[in-house]
Amino acid sequence: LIKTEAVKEEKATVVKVSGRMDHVTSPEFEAACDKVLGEGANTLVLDFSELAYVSSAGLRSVLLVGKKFKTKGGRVFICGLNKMVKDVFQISGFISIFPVFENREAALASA
Amino acid sequence: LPAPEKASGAGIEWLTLPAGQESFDTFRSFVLAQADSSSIPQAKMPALELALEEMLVNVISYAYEGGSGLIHVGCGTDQNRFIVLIKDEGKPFNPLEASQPKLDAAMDDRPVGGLGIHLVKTMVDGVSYSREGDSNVLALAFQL
Repeated sequence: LIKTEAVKEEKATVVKVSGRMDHVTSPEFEAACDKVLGEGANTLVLDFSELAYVSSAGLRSVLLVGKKFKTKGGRVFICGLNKMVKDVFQISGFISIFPVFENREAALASA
Repeated sequence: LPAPEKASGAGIEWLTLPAGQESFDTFRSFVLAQADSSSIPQAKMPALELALEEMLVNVISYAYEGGSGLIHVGCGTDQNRFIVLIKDEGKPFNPLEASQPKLDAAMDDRPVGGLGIHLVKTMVDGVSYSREGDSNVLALAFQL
């Protein structure tokens, strides 16, 4: 129900998340991001273009990942929100705590 | 939003399962099928899915404080609304009284968690809590 795929780009590591981020699958997302952080990367782009659904459990994980990267002096950029995910980000105020971009190219250009 | 006395009334289809994580998917499939047959607009589906997850996970985790018990999920329509009821016989608890999260704080000042109820209140067309006898009853309403 969730798939994560990490790709190292010149300025950042992109983690593309497909499927759903809910109370069951969010730990898997967190583990994928922890792995990127553990490998020494400190700029992360979360590509959510294939993410269909996020609940508060998913938001919790996204915020935890954001805090962990920040603690290590890094940053997290987010891109490709569908309508549902964008609504949830707006309602929860996440749109103002993370830099959010239309697509991966725009996020990488700012990273 | 729906009158609590109608909560256990006619026209509501119920599914009762143990209060455990293993019941979640069965409840979810049941509610989605009921919503589908009441012709809920497709645009409401994300809100329905989200509200169901937030509320049900809450009840599964806390209603019986680690002990065992049952959860009853009911679906029906009332006037032009699709209604979902979530009922447990746990200790009295109104999740809607949760404090409003600080939405404009910077990342360092944002606590992790506490957003579920706020999302539900914002995204569904109506939500209410009532204590009926020994039961907690949560009602979610979606305009058809």
